[in-house]
Amino acid sequence: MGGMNASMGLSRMGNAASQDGPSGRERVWIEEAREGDRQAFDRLVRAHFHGIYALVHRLVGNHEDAEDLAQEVFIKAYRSLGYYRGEGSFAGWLRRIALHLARDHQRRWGRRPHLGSLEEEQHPAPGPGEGEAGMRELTRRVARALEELPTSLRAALVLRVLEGRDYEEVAEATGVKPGTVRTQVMKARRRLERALRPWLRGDE
Amino acid sequence: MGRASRSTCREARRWMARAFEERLSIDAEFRLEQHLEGCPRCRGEAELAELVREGLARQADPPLERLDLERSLRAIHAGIEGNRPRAIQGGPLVRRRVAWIMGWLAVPVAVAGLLLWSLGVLPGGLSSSPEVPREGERGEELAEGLRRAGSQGPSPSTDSSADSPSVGVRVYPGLGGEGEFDPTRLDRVRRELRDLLARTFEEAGGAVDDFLDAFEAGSQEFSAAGWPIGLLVQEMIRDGDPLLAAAACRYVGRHATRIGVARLEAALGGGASAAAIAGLVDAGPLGLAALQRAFWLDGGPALIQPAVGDLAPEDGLAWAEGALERAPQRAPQRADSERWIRLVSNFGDAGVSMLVHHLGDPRLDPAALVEAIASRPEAAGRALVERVEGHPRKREVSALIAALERVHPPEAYRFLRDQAWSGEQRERAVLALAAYPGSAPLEDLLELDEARRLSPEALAAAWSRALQEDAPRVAFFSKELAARGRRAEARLLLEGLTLASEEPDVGILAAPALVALAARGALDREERAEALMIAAEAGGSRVVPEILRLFADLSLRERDCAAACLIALHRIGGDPAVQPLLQGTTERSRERILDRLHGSDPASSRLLLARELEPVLSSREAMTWSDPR
Repeated sequence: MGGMNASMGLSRMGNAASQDGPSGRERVWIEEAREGDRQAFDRLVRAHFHGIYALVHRLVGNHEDAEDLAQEVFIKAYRSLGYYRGEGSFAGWLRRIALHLARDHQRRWGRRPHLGSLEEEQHPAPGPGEGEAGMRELTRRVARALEELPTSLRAALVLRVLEGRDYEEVAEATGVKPGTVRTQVMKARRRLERALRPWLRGDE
Repeated sequence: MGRASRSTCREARRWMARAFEERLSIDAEFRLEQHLEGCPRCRGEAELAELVREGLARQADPPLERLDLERSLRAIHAGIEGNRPRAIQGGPLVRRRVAWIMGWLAVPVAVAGLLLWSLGVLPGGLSSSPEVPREGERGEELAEGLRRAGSQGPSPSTDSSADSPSVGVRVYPGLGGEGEFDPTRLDRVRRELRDLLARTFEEAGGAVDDFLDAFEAGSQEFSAAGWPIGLLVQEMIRDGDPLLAAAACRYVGRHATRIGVARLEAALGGGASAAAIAGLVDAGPLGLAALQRAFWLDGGPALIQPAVGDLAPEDGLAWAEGALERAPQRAPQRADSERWIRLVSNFGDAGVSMLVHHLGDPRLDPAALVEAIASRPEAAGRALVERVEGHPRKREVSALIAALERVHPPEAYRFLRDQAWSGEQRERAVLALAAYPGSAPLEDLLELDEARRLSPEALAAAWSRALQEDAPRVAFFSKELAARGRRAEARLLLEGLTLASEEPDVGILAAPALVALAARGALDREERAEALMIAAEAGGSRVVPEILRLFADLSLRERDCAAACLIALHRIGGDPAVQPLLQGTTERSRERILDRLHGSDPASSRLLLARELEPVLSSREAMTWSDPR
C-alpha cells in the first residue's frame, strides 16, 4: 500500500476559474461578449477551450468528436450568454453545457467512448503482477470498464477523480446535489472494482 | 479481531474511500498503512482500490497537442454565424464508419448483381430467353391463396371459365369442351331454385336436410338436361345470394367430393365464406385439410374458429395440430402464431398444456407462446414440470426458461437453478430464477454472485427482475439478512441493489430493501450509511416512512446510523424533513445539527453530526415524529 498516495496525481487539470462566479476580468469579457463583441468572446474561448476539450475527450474518448463537441459548447454558450447570470463559475457553466452535449452525442450516435480501443486484447491476458504487460492490461481493463459506466456515473468520476474537482463543482456541472455526486462516485468505483475483481483473482 | 481492531477497519474503509478521490493526510495515510499490515481483508480491498486508481491514473491524457485553437475559433465563429460544417455529421469517425458500412455492403451487392446478371434479369445477362413470362401480381385474397395452396383435387382456378365474366357464353370443360352454357337458362333455374329454397326455409325453419333436399330437387331439371350439377353449384356459390350460396355449399359438403371441396376452398374469403366453411365442416375429413390451410390466410381464423370451436377439445386440438402442420413454410410471424395460439387457448387447460408442449417449436413465436401460457399458470405449471423432467433438447431449453420466468411451478425450480449455474442460457436462467417466488431464489442469486458467476450487468438485471416481480419480498429478505447478521451476504445484496437501483424505475423499488439492509446486524457503519444514501437518492419521499422507522429503532450506540438517517432525510426533503425529529432538542443543538446537514462533505458531516446526536438520541422519548402514512 506504499503507493497509496504515490500515484495520487489523478487530478491533472487545474481549475480554470474560481467557484464564486467569474473573475473581474472574465466578467467584463462576458458582458462585452453579450453585447456582441467577438474579440471578448474569443478571449473566453482561449481561456477555457482546452479544459472543455479535455473533459469532453474523457467522456467521448476520441479527438475528432471531442474537438467538434468542444466547439459546439462554445457556439451554444455564445447563443445562451443571456441566460448566464454569473451566480456560479463560468467554467462550471461551460462544463454543464459540455456534459449535456456529450450525453446527447452518445445518445444520438449510440456509441460508447473507445478510450482503450487502441490497445489490443491479449490472450491469455497478463495478470496484475506481470510488470509492464500487467499494467497495460490493467489500463485496458479500466478503460473498458469506464466505457461501460452510465454517462452520469462516468461524468461524476471524471470530474471528481480525474479532474480533481470538489463536490460542489461537480454538482454544479452535473446538475445534482453534492451528496448525489458522492454516491455516484462511490457507485462508479464499485463498478470498476467489480469489473477488475475476477482478473485480480485470476478467475479469467 | 478485537473491538479496537474492528473500529480501525471501519476507519480504514473510510480512508480508502477518501483516498480514491483525494490525497490523504500524512497522519491518515500512516494509520491506514499500519492497519493494512495487520488486516488481510482490508488489505485485499485496498489492493483492489489501488488497482482501480492506478488504472485510472494510467488512462491516456487528452491529446491537447492535437488541438489547433485558431482553427477551432474559426469553426466556432462559423457556427455562431450558422455556417459551421458539422464535423459530427461528417467528421473522420463518421466517414470511417460510412466507409466501413459501404465496404461491407459492396460485397453482397456485387454478388447479387452478378447472380442477377447471370440469370438474365439484368440487361445483357447470360440468359438466352429474355422474354420469360413473368408471374402475375400475387393478390393476398383468401380465395386466391387457397387456389394456390389447394391440393385436394382440380382447383377451380385451373378452370378457364373461372376468370371469365359471369354473363355470356362460356365453354364448360366438363362437357368435353363442346357444350355451350346458356345464361338465360341458368337465370331461370336460379329464380325457381331460390323461390323453392325460400319456401323451404320458411316452412322447415331452416332445417339443413330439408333445405338441401330442396336444393337437390330444384336442380334436377338442370341436371336432367345433361349439365353437371357441379356447374350449378359453382354458379350458385358465386351468385352472391346468401340463400343460394348456403344451400350450394352445404350440398357440396354433404356430397363431399374432391372437386366440390376445391370449389368451397375457392369460395373462402368471398361473400359465401361462412357457407363455404359450413360446407367444409360438413365434408368431414376431406374438408379438414382445406380448412387447415385456410386458417393461415388473411381472415381465415375469424371464419374458421367458430366452426372449430364447436368441436370437442380432443378433436379441436387435433385439428389445430394439423393446421400447424399446414402452416406456411416461413419464419414464425407473431400474427400467425397468435392466431394459432388463440385457437388452442380456447380449449382450456388441455390447450395450454398443448402450448407448453410446443415451447421451442420453431414455427411459433416464443414470446406469444409464453404470453398465452402465463394466462393459465396452474395448468401451464403442470405441463412445464413434465417438459423439464423429460430431458428437453437444447433448442427447447431457452423457451422453457422463458416460460418459467412467468410461471413458477416449484417442481421446476431445480431445473432452473441448474441452468443458472451451468446451462448455456445462464443469463436468461438467472433472470427467471430472480422472478421465482420465495427467498430461496434470492439466496441463490447471492450464491451465484459469491461464486462470481454474474457479470455486473447480469447482477443488476437479476436484482431488477427480483424487485420488479416482488419488491416487498426483497425488502423482507434484506431485513432477514440484517437481523441474522449475515454480513457477507448483506454486502453482496447491497452491491446488487446498488447496481439495480441505477435502472430507471427500479431505484424506487430497491429503496425499501436498502433501508432494511441498513438495520443493525450485518453491515458496518459505512455500509449502512451508504445503503441509506442510495435509498434516499433512489426512493425520494416514498422511502421516508422506512427511514423514520429505522431511526426510531436505533439504539443509543448507533449514532452514526442515526446521523446517516438524518442526512438521507435532509437530502430528500431539506430542513422540513428533519425538523420533526429534532423537536425534543434545544434550539442551539438543533441549529448545530442543521448546520452540519448543510455541510458540503456528507462523510465528515456525518461524523460531526453523530456527536451532536448523542444527547438527542439519549432523550429520544422526548422526540416525536409522525409516520406520513
